[in-house]
Amino acid sequence: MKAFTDKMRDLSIAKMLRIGVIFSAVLVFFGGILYLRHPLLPTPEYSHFLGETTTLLGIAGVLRGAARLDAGSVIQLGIFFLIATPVVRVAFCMVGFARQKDRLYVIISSSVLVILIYSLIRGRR
Amino acid sequence: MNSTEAIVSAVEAGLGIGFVPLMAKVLAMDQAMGLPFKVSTTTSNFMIGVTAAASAGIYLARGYIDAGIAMPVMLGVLAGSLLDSKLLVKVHVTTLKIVFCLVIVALGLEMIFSGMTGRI
Repeated sequence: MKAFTDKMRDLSIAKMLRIGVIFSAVLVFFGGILYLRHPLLPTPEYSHFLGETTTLLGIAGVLRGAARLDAGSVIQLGIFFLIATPVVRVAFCMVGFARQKDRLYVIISSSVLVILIYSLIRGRR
Repeated sequence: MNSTEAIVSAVEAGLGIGFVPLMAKVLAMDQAMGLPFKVSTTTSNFMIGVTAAASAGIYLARGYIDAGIAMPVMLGVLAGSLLDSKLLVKVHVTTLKIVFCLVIVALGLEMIFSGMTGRI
């Protein structure tokens, strides 16, 4: 097995990014079709920012809603995968640097990954 | 929780996720480090993407993302960036620099205006 080069690492990251973005775009597009299924509804009231209700905040709620084919839940799921994609990219970078035995960059990318995961977990009030 | 909020807000305010730090980073890389222009724009974009991922996760967890608004925005941004990545290879650097200068002047004027009218 020849050495794990920079180019191999970059190619694997690019492939993962492409898959992640396309997958989340398909989800959001599908959710958009569900959302626009009833075009005769009155235009939504956007002048006051209400934010999403609590049923859609947790990942369990989003998955349950998506199973019911609720438009908002499917879109939220797609957005969740979109946000997860750069986080997974950092993880791929870390693994790539580990395979290249580059200790400094393993430390740097794992610090970034820890910060990202911390903000995702502790972001709720 | 309050301490987490404070640190998060401090970092977000410091980095100012969005257009402004992207412009600042591009200028820094282009002028101070003398990198090729296309390299500095794409690298700045990458850096912004990773830092935005942190705050985006928080917005999602707190329900600040409205699904009905986010859906067309996301699809539009994706289509735009796919188009742009094809264009970037072919565009002349001079054209890029002229457009960049115009945008940054407009951004500066807008910031001055917001500051003067107190709309920050």
